[in-house]
Amino acid sequence: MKLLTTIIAFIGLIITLAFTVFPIGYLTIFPAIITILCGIILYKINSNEEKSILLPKLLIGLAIIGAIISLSRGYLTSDIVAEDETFEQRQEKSNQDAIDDLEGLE
Amino acid sequence: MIVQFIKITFIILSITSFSTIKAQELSSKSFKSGEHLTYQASYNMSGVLTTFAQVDLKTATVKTSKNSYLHLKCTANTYTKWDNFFKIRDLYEAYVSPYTVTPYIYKRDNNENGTIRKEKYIYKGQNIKSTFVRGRSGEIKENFTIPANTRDIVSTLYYIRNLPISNAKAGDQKDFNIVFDRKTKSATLSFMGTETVNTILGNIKCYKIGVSLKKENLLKGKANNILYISADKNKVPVLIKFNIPVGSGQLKLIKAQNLKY
Repeated sequence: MKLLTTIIAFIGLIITLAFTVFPIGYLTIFPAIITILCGIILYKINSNEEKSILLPKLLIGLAIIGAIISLSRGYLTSDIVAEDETFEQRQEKSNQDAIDDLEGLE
Repeated sequence: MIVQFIKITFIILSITSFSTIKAQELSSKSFKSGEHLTYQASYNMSGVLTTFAQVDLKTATVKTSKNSYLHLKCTANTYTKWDNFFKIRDLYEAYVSPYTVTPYIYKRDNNENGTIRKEKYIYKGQNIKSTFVRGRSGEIKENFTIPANTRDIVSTLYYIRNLPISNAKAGDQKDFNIVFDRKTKSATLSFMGTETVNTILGNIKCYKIGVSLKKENLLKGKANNILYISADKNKVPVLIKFNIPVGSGQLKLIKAQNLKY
């Protein structure tokens, strides 16, 4: 039970931290919640066994930090498209080429 | 006197009919030149929709020495937040007849994270003169034939807008052909009634149309791809829900400019 919970907590934490890097916003909350729940279970188990509670605290802390970073990024980052001159030029060239092709069709 | 009257009448008629043509110029039943629709593209990740790109649909007039055409342009740009991970700069365009939306040229110029894919079709009746570039391979030319009334994906979208949807009854179906990747694909449109869609622009009453491709995995499942078109004269695609082999997503209208009505 304890081993399984620790494994799930670590997997959850890895996914949370990985998701923190990517701009996928609110999706990070799911692995973070799993990690926090597993962390709480480990905390209770270790407290009952009078063992170190540093690891559960660390898991819970990192998951919370990861979730806050992701949620903040999701909330603060707006959906903007960058100005792309190369793409604009591609579009203009394509249009000019098409006009030439249309002239050829007539 | 009578001759003069006839002359004047003819001139007036000529002027009015000319101005009518001018006014109707490059204007189809549901859209006109200069229309600009902006969509937010989202991908479904474990039930959570994550926005990743902006899709723009624009129409413009293109003039040659003899004719005028309607240029239908679709661009897809990933948002800046995604550009460092997976940058998409896709261009799909069609040059069509402004009245019948019959395509003359279709072009595709995709750059997806550095992967280049280009395609050009020049329609000559039921024959297509195609040129394509995929990855680092050079330009390949190929001619192939298509069934009558086959359109590319861009002109199909606009063609659907010109259909008399208001007369359709729930369950009505229409088959059509799409040419994509130099292959003709049969597709079926099925009218599924009306539904109100909540958007940034407010609640819009829409025609709900299911789109399914037969014998094709590109868009899988019957009516898993749903097109919501505004139930007004403009017939603007308000929401497009799609299913692809690697997941699902949607395109939601966030801005509509220069509509016909």
